[in-house]
Amino acid sequence: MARVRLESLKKHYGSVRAIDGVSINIESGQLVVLLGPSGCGKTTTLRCIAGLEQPTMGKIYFDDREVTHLSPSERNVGMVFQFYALYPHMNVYENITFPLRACRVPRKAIETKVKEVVQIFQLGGLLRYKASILPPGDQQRVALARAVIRDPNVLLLDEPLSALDEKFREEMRSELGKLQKRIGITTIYVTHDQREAMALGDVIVVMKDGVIVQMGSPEELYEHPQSVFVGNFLGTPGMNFVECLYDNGLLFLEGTEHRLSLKRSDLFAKLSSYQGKEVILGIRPEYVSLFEKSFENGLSIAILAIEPAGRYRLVDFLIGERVFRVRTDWSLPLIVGHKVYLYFSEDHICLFDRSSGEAIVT
Amino acid sequence: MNNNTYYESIIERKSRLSVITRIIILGLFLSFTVFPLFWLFLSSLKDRLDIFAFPPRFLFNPTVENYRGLFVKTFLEGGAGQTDFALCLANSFITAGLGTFFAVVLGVMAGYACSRFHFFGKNDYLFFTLSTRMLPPVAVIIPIYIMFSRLGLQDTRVGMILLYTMANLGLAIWIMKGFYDSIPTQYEEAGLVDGYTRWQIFWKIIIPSVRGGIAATMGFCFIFAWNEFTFASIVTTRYAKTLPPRIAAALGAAGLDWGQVAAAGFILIIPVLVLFIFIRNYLLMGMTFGVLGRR
Ligand SMILES: Nc1ncnc2c1ncn2[C@@H]1O[C@H](COP(=O)(O)OP(=O)(O)O)[C@@H](O)[C@H]1O
Ligand SMILES: [Mg+2]
Repeated sequence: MARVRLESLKKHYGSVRAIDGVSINIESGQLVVLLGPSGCGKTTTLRCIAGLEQPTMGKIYFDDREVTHLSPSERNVGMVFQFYALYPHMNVYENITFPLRACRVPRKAIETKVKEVVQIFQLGGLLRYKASILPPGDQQRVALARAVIRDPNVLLLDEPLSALDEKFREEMRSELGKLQKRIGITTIYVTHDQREAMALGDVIVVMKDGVIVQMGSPEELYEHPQSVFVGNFLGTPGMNFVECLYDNGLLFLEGTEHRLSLKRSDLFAKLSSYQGKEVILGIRPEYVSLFEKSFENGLSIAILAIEPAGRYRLVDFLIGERVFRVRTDWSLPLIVGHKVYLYFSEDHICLFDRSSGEAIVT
Repeated sequence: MNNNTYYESIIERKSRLSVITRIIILGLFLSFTVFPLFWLFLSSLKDRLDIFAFPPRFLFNPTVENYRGLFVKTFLEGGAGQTDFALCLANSFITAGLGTFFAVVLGVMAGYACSRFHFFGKNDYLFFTLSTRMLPPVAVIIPIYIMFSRLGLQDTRVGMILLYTMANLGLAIWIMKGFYDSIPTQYEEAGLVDGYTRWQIFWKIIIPSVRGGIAATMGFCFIFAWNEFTFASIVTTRYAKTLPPRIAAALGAAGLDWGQVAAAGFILIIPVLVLFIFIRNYLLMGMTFGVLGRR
């Protein structure tokens, strides 16, 4: 188990910049999630750490040892591939002991290690089966066991749940989180699913087009997105955005005659340079309340659609040309087409620069 | 549910009808493929009278005289002693066997290289190796004949082994490449991460995964070399002569001894038959060049 440090890592394939200057510092025992849409360079980053790709530039450290130019076999990392890559001609026992047999571990030590991981991953009855005939869930546990049996410096997981079906995925997700904490192994987890990231990560690194757009704890990212992209990417559904014109403590919502007056004095200070300019207001669906009666700062808007979602409902409105979603419980009777009053919780308002999408206030 | 049973009944009715057509087609097919073999076997056990009997006899006194005659000289052929049949049989085994062995060993490695690595002129090379197999033997027989006589490979087993290695190599590379292509590179990457070198991974992970492909390749190569007639009949004359030209020669020599020809033919078929039975599943995989093959 080790600290892992990436220093302005770059990997270019010809003119394609798969990753373009990624720096991350991972503490020992942490679970870091690399999150981002498909093609943003998550897998490439992981493969560079494993040594399967040689970075174009930048450095990789395990603890204080530089490993940038070591071969994969010299790095002692554990990796679970997207479709597990269990060796089909070997049984489970042979699969999980394969990494140990590479470095001539004595028989006794192998047996002790096997007992340990069999217990952790509950592989008791499976050891003699061919790995290729197991159901995906079991295959995954075998792949994990194989990855950690050598006490690797770091465990690398590339979309480990994507081969499982939805229901099972959630189960395995929490299982995985618990196991990681129990073994206490430094882990880098790649996914494009923000729910997985939110549920598992000690730290989430959001990537886009080969660069890190923001990293931090799940809560930090959720409550204080540093850009429109992060606000939109995290959360189910993502953050709502409305284009506004700022004028002296007032936000005029574009495409409507609505306006909001801001009360927080810290907002005024930050917005002073945006006087008379356009900004983007962002707010999460659960931080908007609905009322039947008029209210100060309440926006009266007709309901576009209602979608039940378990304990909550998602209520859609149209503000300007954008759909605006609000999450609310079942207490208020709501009818499509009727007007209700929307009240924005000012503590949770985020404001972004219109042209760059960067946060002004979060 | 109702609909299902309805469709099932249609399918069943259809299948009852088609069983009869299938039997007819199969019967025709077998009479073209298996019956000649069967007839060959019967003829090899007949004496001269039974062979020429008309109508053809299915019941007769079997004799192994034809088989004995293949190996031991008859009175007509100049008295006691052995014929060269045993020598030819041994030659066939040695040249086809070793030719296959070398072609497969080289093909297993070259196919891997062609599947996994990029190198200059790879596609041209791949096409070239296959084109050696597409040329009719007659087209290359003269240069090969000249090369062989200059190099002293004329009528030697070494020459024939080289020839069959060369002739089979292209096919071996292509079949093996197909099998390697169907293995995701993730297995090798997993092996690398697990602490193995490329060479170890090749032996411990890749080779066991393509055992079927190797068997198929061996089958194809051996059958080609074992049956090969054109090269053998031109390049070999006596010491390295293989069975196919030997049998062809026997057809013309001491009159037409159909019994002996049938016996020799049957001996020629046995190894192919045995090989086929052992690796028939793999051969089918080889036909699809591993693309559809399961590992
Ligand atoms: N071997 C390669 N050759 C060329 N381009 C590649 C290669 N591997 C990845 N890329 C490109 O790099 C970018 C990042 O890929 P990847 O790391 O796989 O993204 P992710 O895992 O986040 O979906 C993509 O645009 C992809 O097309
Ligand atoms: Mg990926």
